[in-house]
Amino acid sequence: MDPSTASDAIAAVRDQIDDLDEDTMNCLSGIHGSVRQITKALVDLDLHLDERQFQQASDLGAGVVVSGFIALQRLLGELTSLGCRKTLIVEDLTKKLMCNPEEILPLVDALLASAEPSPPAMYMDPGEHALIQQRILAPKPPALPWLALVRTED
Amino acid sequence: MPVDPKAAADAVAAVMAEIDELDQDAMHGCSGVSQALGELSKALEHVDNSLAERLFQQAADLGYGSVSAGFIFLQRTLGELNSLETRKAVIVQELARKLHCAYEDVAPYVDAVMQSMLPRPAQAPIDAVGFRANRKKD
Repeated sequence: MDPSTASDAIAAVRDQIDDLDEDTMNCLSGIHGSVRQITKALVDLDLHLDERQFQQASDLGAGVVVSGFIALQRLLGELTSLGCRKTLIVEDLTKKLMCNPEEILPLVDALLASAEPSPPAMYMDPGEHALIQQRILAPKPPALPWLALVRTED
Repeated sequence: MPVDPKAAADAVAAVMAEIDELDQDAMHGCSGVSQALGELSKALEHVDNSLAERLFQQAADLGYGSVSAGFIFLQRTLGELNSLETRKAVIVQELARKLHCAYEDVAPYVDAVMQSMLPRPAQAPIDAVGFRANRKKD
């Protein structure tokens, strides 16, 4: 594949690539927001469990967690369709340049800011992440031995 | 009119088997919710990591797989917790009817004998420890 022809072909669809890039960035930002919304709700839910406020915990599960989950699923669907749009652009270029998609893909990716890896902290607030690690993901003592100890008092 | 503690203790003792069963189910329910919270949080962390690596297809697949599974698990365990609350409300209502008092007056006596209600709020409306000790003597 001739590099000059490739760059001309890519330049011809540059608008499409830029649009795709912008849409992907917006979608990623949306996913970031919904992941944060759910994780925050999970921490709140855990706090309600600590306080034995079962009804509030249940209400939170029916409200914020559900809306966050639906938003996340919609945005992940959008991300999948953005992946299809990228595949179409690469396929068109492949046809024009009569080469393999593997040769074109790195050239398209080089123009996409949304294809550059970023640290996970971009998607989750570090303080909140630490709280989740500490409150939810940290191993807890098994419930049943403690339950057995408590119940022998009676 | 406030409920007589002795009458409350007797009425609670009469349905103790029911309360114990509810208590044990609540413990299991809480442990289920905690497990579901952990699974959903882990799944969201994987989504976050996949997005950071720009593995979009993997992130979308996680949405179908572990995120959905964690979400459904959480909703089911929360549903269980909800029905436990309803069961408790039925017990308290029955006691309130027997004792001719308000729901709120008898609810603390039921809470006091339930281990799943611990840790209790800093200022308990009744002497839960004393109530338990008296119940043992009876």
